[in-house]
Amino acid sequence: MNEPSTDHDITRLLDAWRSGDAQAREALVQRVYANVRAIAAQSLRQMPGATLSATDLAHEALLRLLGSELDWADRRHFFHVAAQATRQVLVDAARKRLTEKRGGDVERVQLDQAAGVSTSDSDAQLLQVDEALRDLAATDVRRARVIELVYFGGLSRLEVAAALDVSEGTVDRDLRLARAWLRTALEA
Amino acid sequence: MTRSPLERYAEDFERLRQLPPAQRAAALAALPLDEAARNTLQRLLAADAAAELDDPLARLLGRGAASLAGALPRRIGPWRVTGELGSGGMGTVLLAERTEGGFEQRVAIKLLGSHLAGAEAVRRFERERRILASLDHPHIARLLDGGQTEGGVPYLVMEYIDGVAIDRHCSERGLGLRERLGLFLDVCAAVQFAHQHLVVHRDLKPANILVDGHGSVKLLDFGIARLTDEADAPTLNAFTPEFASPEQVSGAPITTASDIYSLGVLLYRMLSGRSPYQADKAQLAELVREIVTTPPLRPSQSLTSRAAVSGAGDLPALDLRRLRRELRGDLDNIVLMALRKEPARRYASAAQLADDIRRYLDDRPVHARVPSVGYRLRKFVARNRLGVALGSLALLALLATATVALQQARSARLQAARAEQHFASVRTLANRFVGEVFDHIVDVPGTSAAQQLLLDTGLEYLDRLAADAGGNHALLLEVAQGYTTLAGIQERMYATPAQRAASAQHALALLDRADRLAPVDQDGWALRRDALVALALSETDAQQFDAAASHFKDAIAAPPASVASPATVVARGALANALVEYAKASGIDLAPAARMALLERARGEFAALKAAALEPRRRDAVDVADASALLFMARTQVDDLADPQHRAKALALAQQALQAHEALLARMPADTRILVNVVLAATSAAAIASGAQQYPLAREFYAAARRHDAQLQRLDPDQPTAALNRLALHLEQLEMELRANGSPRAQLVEIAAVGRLVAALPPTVLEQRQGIAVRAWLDTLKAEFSLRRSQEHDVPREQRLALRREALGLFEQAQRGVAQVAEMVDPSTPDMLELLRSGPDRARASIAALERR
Repeated sequence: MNEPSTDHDITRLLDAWRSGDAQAREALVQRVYANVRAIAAQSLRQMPGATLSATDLAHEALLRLLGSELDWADRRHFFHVAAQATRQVLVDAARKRLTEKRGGDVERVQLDQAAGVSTSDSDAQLLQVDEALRDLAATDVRRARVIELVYFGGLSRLEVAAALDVSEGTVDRDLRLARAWLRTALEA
Repeated sequence: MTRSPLERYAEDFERLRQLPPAQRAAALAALPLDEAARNTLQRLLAADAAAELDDPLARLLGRGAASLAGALPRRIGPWRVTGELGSGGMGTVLLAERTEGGFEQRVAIKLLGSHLAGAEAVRRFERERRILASLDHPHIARLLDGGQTEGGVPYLVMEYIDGVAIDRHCSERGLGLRERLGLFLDVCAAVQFAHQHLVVHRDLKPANILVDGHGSVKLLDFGIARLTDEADAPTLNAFTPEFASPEQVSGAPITTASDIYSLGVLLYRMLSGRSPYQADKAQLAELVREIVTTPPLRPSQSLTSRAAVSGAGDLPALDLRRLRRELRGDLDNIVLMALRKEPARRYASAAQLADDIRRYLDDRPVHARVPSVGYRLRKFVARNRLGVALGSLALLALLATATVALQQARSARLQAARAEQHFASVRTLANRFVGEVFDHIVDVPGTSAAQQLLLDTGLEYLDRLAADAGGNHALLLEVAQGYTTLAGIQERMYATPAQRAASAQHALALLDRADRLAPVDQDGWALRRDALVALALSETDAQQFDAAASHFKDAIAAPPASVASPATVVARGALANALVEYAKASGIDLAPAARMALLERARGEFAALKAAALEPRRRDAVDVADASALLFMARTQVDDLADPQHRAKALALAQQALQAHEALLARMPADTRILVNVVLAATSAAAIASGAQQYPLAREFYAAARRHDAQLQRLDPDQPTAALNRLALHLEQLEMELRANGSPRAQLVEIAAVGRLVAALPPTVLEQRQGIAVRAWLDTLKAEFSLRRSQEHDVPREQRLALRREALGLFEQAQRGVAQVAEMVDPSTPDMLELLRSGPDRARASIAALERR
């Protein structure tokens, strides 16, 4: 990994964030961002047959940075960050592809495949999703977070409920409504 | 904070969406909302319904469509969806039911999560579905139905299994070792059944192997991975890296052998509570590297402590020390054999794997230690031939030491006439019995009683001699050598490893006694090497690999400084023998490169021996041994996957080995043993060349093999395995021609000749499994070449049709044959299996194409 992040760094940042340091969260996201990118690019080089979904990316980032011996509280916090970082990676990649006329550089292809995304149509859609989610987050942090955790972080409903400290029923209802809303936003 | 605009819809949205669609409009109209809000709510409800079957986020981000609880389609075909069972890389699985004839049926519906593009894809999907539907086995979840949703999403309806993953079942119930193995045997039975129907699972892992409330195993998703593969874009090649085989992660063709590997990973987990790999499953790059190149730790060695695994129940319910003892040996070997990197060296079938586990459970010797003896026709034949080649080496060393030791004994002044009489006995034993009588009698059927008598007599003599040896140094050495020789005879007579070890231990004890009387010299050290090798070989067969490795190391160790150099001829012979035996030892953890190094050293000793002035007979023996070592190096080099040049190097070695053998043959043209070796060398060289896609070279080697084989046939028409050897040679070459796109016309002529050879096999062989396998093999080849021939320009139309129809019949006949002898099917020939599997369909399609015109 080219990023000089160590387990220790990450754990320290997680601690700091948990004790209320908002900058620590940003720092974490940046760390994880670099990792998710590298993982996406690397995984395809290593294993041409396999596909990583957004959630696989987040999980792998977690394991690479923190190992598997992580308590649930740390995990939960980390997934907040990983989901956000994964989203950024995918959105940035999509944006880059859309702005660049010429194609064919290696990393591009790998990111495409790693995310299971391959057309500029879906790039545009992904940007739309991102924007819609940002709009939603402006007024409805919880529902936007639910979407992010489920779709970009790969958490189960149970895990999301624990992460946000709400009931499973709430997660279901939030997810369903937010998803319908996103769909209308995309169709608009 | 601003109130979320969504908040105001949340409650109504939730209530209305749960209403039946018919009542929704009325309920919506009744709500006290302004027009804009009503429209928004309506659009949200519509979007929700649409998202059930097509979730744009899931499509974009690769997450299963039904990750939301309750966000499920209500109906698929005749099925009422009642819940979600899970979602994964290959799609979403729903729980559904229907009532028919008052009987409620619950099923699992798998949405394959991608659209089938084009009529061809749909046809392929349907064809696969029919094959999968025919898998009717008590341990395989039935495929009941399938089709496409209105939106074109393919789905499969499967028997619903209310159970938990096998690993969880084991840990939750705290199952013991035997109970775990019992479950695993059921898994093997299911896999074997599917393989017999030419269906490979491709994604065997605990999540696909459930145990229901009655403790019965059910395998899910047979062949689904392949199905989604084909239905999908080629990049969506779904499998689970931790359970994937080396060929799977490196993108090579997938065969039944891949499933065997996955079974090995599963068994590893069930026995040791952990993965065979050091890398975490998320460290993809590292994991893949390990899968492809690093031999796994023995399961017994991977047991560290209960604390190291995630839960106590992950391990079989046994005291950790006892568990380690139980795993060490047989179970270690069984697991590692399933996990071999090269498909061809794994168990040839799930049935073989299961058989070894049953043998372990019944305390019978397992096969895992002897790679693939008799597992399949070609390996069987090849190994027998290799056995002939290398077996002579051990004998050579024994005879060499015997001669010298006897001279030594003679030159010593014998103190008692009685001792002299015993010497005569030992001499008779060591030379006459071993060298002449035993050699003649060992391969004669029905002489096992006589052989046993020989053995008992020999042992009796030696025991009496040992008791009388007292302080006689020369006699001690001689008796020690007698015991070592005896261990060798016992090996050929299939005495138990313990009996052989006892003989070798006797020899070592006598050598210790001798060393206390007089300082050890080069030849005495040679006797020690021989005894240590005999001991290590018996330990290898007893699966005491740690002990065997340590004794092999002792056997190749340098003598103490007090031993005068330079090494004598006998000492060099013994060292070379020890090096070769160590390199050949199966089951001992030794990388191909390390084996190569041992063989290089042995060849160094052979070179030194050749430089010495040896009498012609011994010199020939050294040359034979050296050529055999070269051949063995070629075969070892093929296995050294870590070396990117391994094929090229192996090829060069094989060529060298063949030349060495041919040079020997030129000197001893009438020696059938050498002829057997030459045929073997040429066939090995051909196989290596063919593997490296050097087809013209492979053809040359095959031609040489056939030339020498013809000569062998002239000299010794009664060679017991020669007929099958010969067939294997021809069939292998035909298979090579298939890969090399050889002329169909020429190959069909050849096939007709081979067919005559097959027909000439004795009826007893023809009706047995080997005969069935040979015919299926030949039928497949003939069908394939007929199909190819029918596409050539110079073939008239009527003949085309006839050829294609014949191909169809042959493919079908071969499929029936293969189903009968599934455990002999060679998983290392994925192309052949694939050809056979798809053969009938291809033949039918080509017939249809012709008839349309």
